[in-house]
Amino acid sequence: MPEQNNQQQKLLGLIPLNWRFDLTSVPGVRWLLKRRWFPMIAILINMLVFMIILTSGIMGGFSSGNYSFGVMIVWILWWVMLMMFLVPVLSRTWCMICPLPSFGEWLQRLRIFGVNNKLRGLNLKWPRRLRNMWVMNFLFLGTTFFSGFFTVKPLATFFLLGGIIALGIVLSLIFEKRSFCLYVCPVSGFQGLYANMAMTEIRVKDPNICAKHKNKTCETGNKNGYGCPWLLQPHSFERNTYCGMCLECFKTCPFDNMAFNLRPPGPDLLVNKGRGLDEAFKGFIMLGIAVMFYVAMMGPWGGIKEWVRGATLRGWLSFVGVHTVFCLVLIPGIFLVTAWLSKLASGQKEVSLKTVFVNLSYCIIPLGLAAWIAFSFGFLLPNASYILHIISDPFSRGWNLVGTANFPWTPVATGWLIPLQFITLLVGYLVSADFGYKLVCQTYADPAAAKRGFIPLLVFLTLVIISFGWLYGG
Amino acid sequence: MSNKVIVAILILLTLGVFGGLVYYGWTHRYGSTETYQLQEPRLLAVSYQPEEELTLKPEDIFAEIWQNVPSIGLMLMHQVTELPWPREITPVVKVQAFHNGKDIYFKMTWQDDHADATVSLDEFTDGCAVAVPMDANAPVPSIMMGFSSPVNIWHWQADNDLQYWHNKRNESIAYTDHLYPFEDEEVLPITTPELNSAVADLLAQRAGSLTLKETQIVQGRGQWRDGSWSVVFKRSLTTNDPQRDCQFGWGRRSASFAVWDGDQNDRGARKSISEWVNLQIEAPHPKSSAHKETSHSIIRVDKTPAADASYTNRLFSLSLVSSAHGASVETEPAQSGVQPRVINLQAKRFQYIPHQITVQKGELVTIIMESLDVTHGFYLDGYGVTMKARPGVVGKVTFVADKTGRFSFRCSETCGEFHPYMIGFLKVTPNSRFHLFVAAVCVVFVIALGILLRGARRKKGAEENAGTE
Repeated sequence: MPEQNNQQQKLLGLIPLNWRFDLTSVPGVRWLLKRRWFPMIAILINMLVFMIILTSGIMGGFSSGNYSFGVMIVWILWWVMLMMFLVPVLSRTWCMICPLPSFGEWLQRLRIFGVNNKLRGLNLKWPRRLRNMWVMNFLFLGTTFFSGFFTVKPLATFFLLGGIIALGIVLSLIFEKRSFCLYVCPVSGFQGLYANMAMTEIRVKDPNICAKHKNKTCETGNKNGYGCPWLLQPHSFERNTYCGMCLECFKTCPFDNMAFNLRPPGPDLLVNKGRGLDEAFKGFIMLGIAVMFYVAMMGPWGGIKEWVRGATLRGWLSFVGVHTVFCLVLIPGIFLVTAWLSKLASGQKEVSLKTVFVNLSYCIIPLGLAAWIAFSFGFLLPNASYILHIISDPFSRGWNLVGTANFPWTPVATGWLIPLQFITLLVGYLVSADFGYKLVCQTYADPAAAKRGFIPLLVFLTLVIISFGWLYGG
Repeated sequence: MSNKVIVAILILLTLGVFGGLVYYGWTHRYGSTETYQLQEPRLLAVSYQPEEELTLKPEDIFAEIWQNVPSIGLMLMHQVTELPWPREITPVVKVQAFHNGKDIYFKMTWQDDHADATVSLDEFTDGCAVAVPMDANAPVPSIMMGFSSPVNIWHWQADNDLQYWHNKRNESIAYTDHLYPFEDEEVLPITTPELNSAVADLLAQRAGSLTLKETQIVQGRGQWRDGSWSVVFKRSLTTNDPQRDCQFGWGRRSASFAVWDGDQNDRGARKSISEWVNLQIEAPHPKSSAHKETSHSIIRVDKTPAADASYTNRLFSLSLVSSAHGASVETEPAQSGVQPRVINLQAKRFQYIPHQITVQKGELVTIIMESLDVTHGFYLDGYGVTMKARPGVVGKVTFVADKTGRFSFRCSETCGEFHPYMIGFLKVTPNSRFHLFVAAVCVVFVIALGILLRGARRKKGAEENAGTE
């Protein structure tokens, strides 16, 4: 197995990981992706929706979030769509149509649709030490400290989204291109991490063409489009992690060499390039937040809800402390022990513990994503019917715009909630174990050592999935 | 202008706009930041004044005794438990009380820039009320007319005061109040009973159960002076009818107060109300040790489930109001001959107590839900069972737990900002779905381990064979 390269491996021994279908081979798709107005037109439509969200946030005050357009669209529709469909299927498509950094980008470009590669603003380089996921890790973790406010209070939702827009504008004026999206945006980090599991990707069709192309217009830009706003090299994409799918490379490539591929989920996890502790910790933090969100929102423990919603300062600080330790110390600590046992079992002394820790951490990405999808079912099925109310009365003013304002709360198929969650977890466990084995084989050169080193990891994954199962339905 | 200056201006502009919008949202917000924590009630000392007896002459309202007895200022709030809600609020009412060993007196004073003592098509009268639970030890989680214990409500109205004390009727003609919701559901009196007092002596056990007592034993008188109403209530400490009248003993018991402002169209549920207040009634011949013992025993509010259940039982047994207004909202399957397992569930923002219920498959289960604050709902995933409990109206549902597994029950009535997350668990054992899940994981684990070990053993065998050759 270790001798096999990524291209030869199969997902669960069934689906070749090197299978691809280039969607740009469909003429209509190719035509669309090369238009200058796409995806800007989608961003503008999205921006209109966000304007309504922000307005409802300002006007909603502290009223109950389930009757707020902003709270429901952001935390029920958007979050659930992100976790259940957009990221696992379409990679970072949300970043493609995200309106939050657009104001900053327009100020840099002084254009909305057109091309102006002479960007305005200070255009400073992002500090070298911060060119990783750490800032996003801490910002996202910090954001979840306030989840008891952001997810239920309209004004708090406005504060969060408005704050992201304001920060995006400020950083876009100071730093070059999409530094904000790449290094700061709290939503960007987990999308990047879980986009490794996505079933779509943007890659070059033929690397040889790019190798011969000296100008690298996908990086530098030309009259047809901007050089990669995400400061990447589209000609050598290997992972989805940092590609914001802005589609500029489709416009700038003179050889029409960019592909929008369908693929099996997860091949990026096996790319042994660009891995680091920052990404490993992003995986642990996301796992910890999934547990915390479930306990606080779907659990029956009233005392913890009191903590999370800040009924008392002491309770809230307790929550912050416990949550931080759980995400940054306990989960990584247990995984460190697992990595150490794996190294010990493998008998491969020449492989460093850090390498084992970082490499193996990527196998928790499928499991983490499954935990989030399962959690999202618990958001969606009971609460989706509120959306019918809020689209008729977006500003809580007693309107009935489309005649659905009086639609009663109607939970949908909640009897199937826990079985759905169990199935999702089980699939996540299988895929995690599969990639775990592939990663172990990649880490230890000797196949026998890899098998021995896999056993502690399998035990870890098994215990984690049973714990999630217990939490969700035990 | 240099690039840096432009950037600086744009940054300041961005932060300014964002700050301005947050400020606008903050200052124009509605809803409240309330934390819904139960506060320790304020204490009103009801002092013993053996020499004082008021006959409710006009001068008694401002008698010297009121200068000497302690007072407390109570912040009032909108009544929002029942519709219709008030439009404006009377912010503060000053309350005083004393007794002389025979009668108890309350005085309420509040600012009102206009005395409204006329009732007509679009005019409403000022008023105020004192509510006292009949049971001194009853837990009082809801302010609206009690429900753990029936309450006596003494309702003074300015128009009745005018009629009773001055023999003036300001009600010009019979009228229909089209502006007040629920008019169709109301029974309009066709004759006006002769008044025995300016105060209506009422009995209630929950919203919608307000009943005029047959025997009116509370007197009261109000006077509007210098932009304030002052109203004095008088009632005997004890009566001959403990079933319908609260009996004031020495020690601590609860009371609450309400004010109606006719100017603001207040009437019925449109009123400003206080939180519960603890009355500390001084004994006529105070002996320090005995007094301590008495008051201590009366303060105790037993919160054990048994005690709560006894209140629930008492609630059902009070036919006076419950039969007339329905004691519970009930959904029962057609199943007879089997005694259901009764589970008492309390609901409060944003949790159920107990938070997890475990029953066995096939059990007939009755859940009786009591709300401790606002209206809460109960929706059971998988079973589709629903009910709701308003303060004072318990919800009751009976079903057969024929599906195994863990099921969430959730609040189905919007009860505050964390409402969607108000959840409890019902576990119907055996939890076969979870057991199946664990079994599936274990199967995967064992198969994976088997493949690993078999591969290792094959390789080891091959190496041994190679050595032999």
